[in-house]
Amino acid sequence: MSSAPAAALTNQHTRRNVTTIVSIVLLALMTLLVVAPLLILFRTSLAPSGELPFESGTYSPDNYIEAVTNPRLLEIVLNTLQYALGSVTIGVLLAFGIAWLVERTDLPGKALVRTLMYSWMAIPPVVLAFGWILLGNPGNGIINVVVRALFGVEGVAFTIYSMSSMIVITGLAIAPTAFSMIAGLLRNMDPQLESAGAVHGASGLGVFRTVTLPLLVPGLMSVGILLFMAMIQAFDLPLVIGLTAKVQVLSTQIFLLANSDISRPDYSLTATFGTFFLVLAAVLMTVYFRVVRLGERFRVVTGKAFRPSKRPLGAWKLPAAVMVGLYFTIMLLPFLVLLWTSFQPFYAIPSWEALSRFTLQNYASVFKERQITRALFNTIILILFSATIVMVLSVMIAWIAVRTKTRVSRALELVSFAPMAIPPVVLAIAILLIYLRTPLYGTIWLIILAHVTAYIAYGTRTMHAALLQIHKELESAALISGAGWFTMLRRVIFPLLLPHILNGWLWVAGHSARDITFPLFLITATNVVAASELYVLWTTPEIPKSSALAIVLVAGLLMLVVPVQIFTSRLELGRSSKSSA
Amino acid sequence: MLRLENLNKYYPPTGEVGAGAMPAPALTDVSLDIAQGEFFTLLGPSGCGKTTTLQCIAGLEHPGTGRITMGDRVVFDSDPGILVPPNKRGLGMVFQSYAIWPHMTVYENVAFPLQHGPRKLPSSTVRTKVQAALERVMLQDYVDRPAPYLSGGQQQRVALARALVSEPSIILLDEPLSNLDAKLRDAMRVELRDLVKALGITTIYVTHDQTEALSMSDRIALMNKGRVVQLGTPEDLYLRPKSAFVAEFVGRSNIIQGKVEQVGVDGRGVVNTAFGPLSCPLPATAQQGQTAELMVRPHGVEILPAGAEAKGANVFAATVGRTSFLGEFFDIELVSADGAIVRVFGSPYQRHETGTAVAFRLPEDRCLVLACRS
Repeated sequence: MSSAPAAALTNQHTRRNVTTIVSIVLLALMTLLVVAPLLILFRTSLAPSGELPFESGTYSPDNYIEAVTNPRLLEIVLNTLQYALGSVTIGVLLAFGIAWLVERTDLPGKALVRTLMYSWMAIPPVVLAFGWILLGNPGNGIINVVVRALFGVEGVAFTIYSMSSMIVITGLAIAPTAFSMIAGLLRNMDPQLESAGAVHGASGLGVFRTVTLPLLVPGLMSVGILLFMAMIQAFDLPLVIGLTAKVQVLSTQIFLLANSDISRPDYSLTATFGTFFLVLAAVLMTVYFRVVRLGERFRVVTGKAFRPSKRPLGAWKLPAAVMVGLYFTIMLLPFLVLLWTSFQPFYAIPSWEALSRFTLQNYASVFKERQITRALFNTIILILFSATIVMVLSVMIAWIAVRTKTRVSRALELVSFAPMAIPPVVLAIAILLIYLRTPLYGTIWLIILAHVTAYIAYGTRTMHAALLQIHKELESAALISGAGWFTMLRRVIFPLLLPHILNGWLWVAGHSARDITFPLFLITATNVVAASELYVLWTTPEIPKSSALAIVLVAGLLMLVVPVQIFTSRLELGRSSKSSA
Repeated sequence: MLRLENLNKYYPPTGEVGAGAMPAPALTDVSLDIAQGEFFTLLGPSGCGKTTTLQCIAGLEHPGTGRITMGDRVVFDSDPGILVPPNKRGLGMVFQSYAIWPHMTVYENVAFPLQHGPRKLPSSTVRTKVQAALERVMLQDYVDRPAPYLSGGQQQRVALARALVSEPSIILLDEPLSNLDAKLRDAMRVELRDLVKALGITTIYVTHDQTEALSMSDRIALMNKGRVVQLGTPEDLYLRPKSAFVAEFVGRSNIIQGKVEQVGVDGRGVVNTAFGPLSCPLPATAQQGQTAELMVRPHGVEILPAGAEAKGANVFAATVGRTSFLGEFFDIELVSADGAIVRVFGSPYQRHETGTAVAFRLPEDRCLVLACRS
């Protein structure tokens, strides 16, 4: 028998059942969410200036010619690269240092360090940025005032409004994210590989240099590139700090084009810049996959249970603990300034005199003013719906990708992963262009739709990894017992994945609450959320009220993140101890 | 009761291999007819297609072509394109990993087929049926225990109770004993067979362990490379293997090459071997001058008492080679003058020193000619 009819035989009986129907429906939905906006974006970039995609009948390359010949384009791209490279270098080095101390040495207070790092998800970067502006603005920033008083110097000692400050602050802010990834790398490394180096004669430093580091390099590279990609796309810190500093990156440039103060927004040129941005991100994505595939060859995650060896720090214990403490103090400073300001009628340097003006008025406004309460209510709707929808879709998409190997499932996997390479500002513009003339525009549901699109890649990726650990026979047993596909999902897959689902839900909820990209691009009077209201108040400027809202937002997120995280770690702990019993 | 007709299946070539690569056949013309209440075993080395066959019966995988009938119900037929999904086939199954859901209690695990199966039963009925199923596997005291708190043997019983609770007419067992320790495995072999036989359920059992297959089955289908190479009772397979593969897979054997010297009229003849002329039954097609492949089990060889002369029919002289004591028997190699080796399992009470001369007999009816070739 020749191979062609043989292959046809196996494909002949592809199951035409529930899973096939579900995967087709999901593929259609994901295509509508992910692919359609990009097509509209591309179409708009070819439309004459000032025309909307659905109204224009002409195609012209004018926008591309204008963008490419604009000397500012090169400057903006270079700024973007410099910003991303600088902040990622700082963030990864910082995170590697702390992660190594926590995972591989006898540093005291490890549990506290881990908890602080993971809880940092609850702090929106804009909030941090606002805190830093209060600390370091060249006029009445606390650092400048203190330096002037101490040394009697005049003028500006330190300014937040510069590229280098922006890089340092972003580096500090992404360190917790980098920490969670790098800690995992270090924890999963078999210490026997290092012991083998030591037994065969290498010194402590020698083992680190010749064994540990080379083994970690591929992992660190992929973490670095992933964060680099995220920072190329970053919008919040460049917006809040970079605009005043007159340092523009691609994302802020696109925002300025779409939200011009002086003229009608030029959507065509915006879409053109967006297309450029998309291409840049896609190139980085390809590089990322190359590196990851390279890293597979060095995989040191063996799946065996082992306890990584802990190196005693000895005399270095105290200095190491102080350094880690210093990092957290620096991280806490902006937050403390905001807390102080939220109890003041107007912004003032901390002093006894200022303390006498202590007031709760700002908090009263946060819970009384209609605009702000609406923003808070919208935020609750936003995070509940986007996180839940993302996780429900992710479990189904990941299941189909892992368990069925059809062309539909591969397409589904690809389309749901694509948003990873779409910068949020680009997606925001594309969604704006599609829905501008629909009743959905101006509602909170449009932001939910945007967040579902933006975060589905994260959701499917984590669920994919979690599902691989579930033995297929657990599912087969349910089917043999007479359960249908949905019953199997509900009674077997969902409960088994619950800790992972909750963690993923938390991540999406946290990111949905802190994101200002989509809320700002899609903002109207009715769909304002806490993050966008924060920005609006700040730029009004109503600094104390904005600070109070920031504190309320962070407190609310902490109240969500901490209990759920405790619950899931208990759930995981309970299951693993039971199965080893 | 259960009929498989001409099942064929090819795995599509994996992505790494070029598109023109020939897909490896997973099943080739597998046809079986299994009777009501039969304990039927699919035996074979890993990758022989036994698990694929079981998965096809379960509906978890699908053959490329062929037909599967359960009772008078066709559950798979490639020609009109009939395909009954696994949850509509009404089967019981015990998986290799047991597949006990770790987030449920013993009760919830066993009750699952009754609660989510095709017939939704009232909860009082469910309770009595689960209770009965757990009593059958002697786990009635573990009803509310969370599944991860069970030992391997207990998990295996839960899996069995879950497979039996909906009273299926066919139960599928996928290497259910392979994860148990040796002692427990011996006990469970007997218990498992008694249980399914008492209930009169048709049982399809997959294993790579010949001891399990021989001790438990009514009939065995030995598979290799996607084909059924021999189908028969345990005695058929052990005593009358049709090929060297079967002989060597089911128990240990001596394969002796020789030349047909003489073909008798009564179906017997003489084959010239390295040890000397050997008289044995010959197949009807055997002709003088052909090369013959003979098989004799190590248990079938008789070592004559010390001092006996190497005289008489099928008695040969040899030197004792390497020996090893296995407790239940002595594993002895006998070496002929020109270096040919016969393996013998002798009595553990009788020691043979390496280097001593012995005489041994290959009893005529224990020598089986597997093949004659020109």
